[in-house]
Amino acid sequence: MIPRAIVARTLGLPADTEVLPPGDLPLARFMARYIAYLGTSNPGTETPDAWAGAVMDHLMADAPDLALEAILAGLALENGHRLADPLAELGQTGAIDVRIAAEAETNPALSELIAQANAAQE
Amino acid sequence: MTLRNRVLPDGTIHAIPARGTLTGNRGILHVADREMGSALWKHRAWICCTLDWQGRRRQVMTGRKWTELFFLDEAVALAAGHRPCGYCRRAAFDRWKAAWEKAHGRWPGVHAVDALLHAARAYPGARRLRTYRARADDLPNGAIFRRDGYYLVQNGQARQVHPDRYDRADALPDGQVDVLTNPVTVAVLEAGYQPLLHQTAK
Repeated sequence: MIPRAIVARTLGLPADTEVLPPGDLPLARFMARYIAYLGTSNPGTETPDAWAGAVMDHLMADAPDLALEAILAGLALENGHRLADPLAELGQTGAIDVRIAAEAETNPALSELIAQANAAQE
Repeated sequence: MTLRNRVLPDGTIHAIPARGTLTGNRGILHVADREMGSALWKHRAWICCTLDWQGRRRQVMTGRKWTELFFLDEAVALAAGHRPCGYCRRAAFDRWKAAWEKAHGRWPGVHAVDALLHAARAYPGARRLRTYRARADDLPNGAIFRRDGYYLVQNGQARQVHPDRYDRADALPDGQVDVLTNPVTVAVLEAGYQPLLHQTAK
């Protein structure tokens, strides 16, 4: 779950906002919207899922472990390797690359995504 | 068919028939021959290159090499987050490096520079590019800002940027604007780097 306070803060909303649904944000629900956002041909334009991009950016910068948890949750939701690029970005943010490598040893889907990410970096 | 490979100053990529004066790349962005995918970048080495290098010819947006992107000129490429290529634009790269050292201190190596540029230009998780607010009259020559369009700062004036040309110079707007050229690159421009400009801005 992504704490409701993080979502509110990322979107510039007060902590006690009533705009957001009640409770924390389930990772699967978040990743469904984030994957849809990654599929937009021009993310510079406003799309209904732009908020998901903002939240993932915040997680990568300030909560990389939670960003990885989200990506792991997203693996079950897509097979088009859209998450390869965010995974590559996350892996370059710091010490999280050690955990990514450890997770990949027991997670074939993550291992395949890493291969996709590495291929895109070449 | 007009391919979607023209980069605007805000870093977005569009299908525009006008020809650019520089090319560049951010990795393999096409998903099939002559068909762009949704990614705006695949790596951090965003470079801008000469159109004509050693007589080589490429079929654009084919194969699994890099995707050829195009820019009106270097000011637009810098605004979109790119830097001069160290291979095909060596003289420009060396001038960039000298201005970098004047602006930021010791040259940390090209990979570190690309990482610093990436942090300054992009929201990685959101796959979007950053802007920041500043006064137009505080910006150096070669910087580009957005107000009701894109504008190049040049000698204390502003020229509107179009896909195929610049308008004639006009007064800078008062007050704050959205700056598209990232602050790391703005500092390089302030240190004296002069980007290659389209003939309509000369």
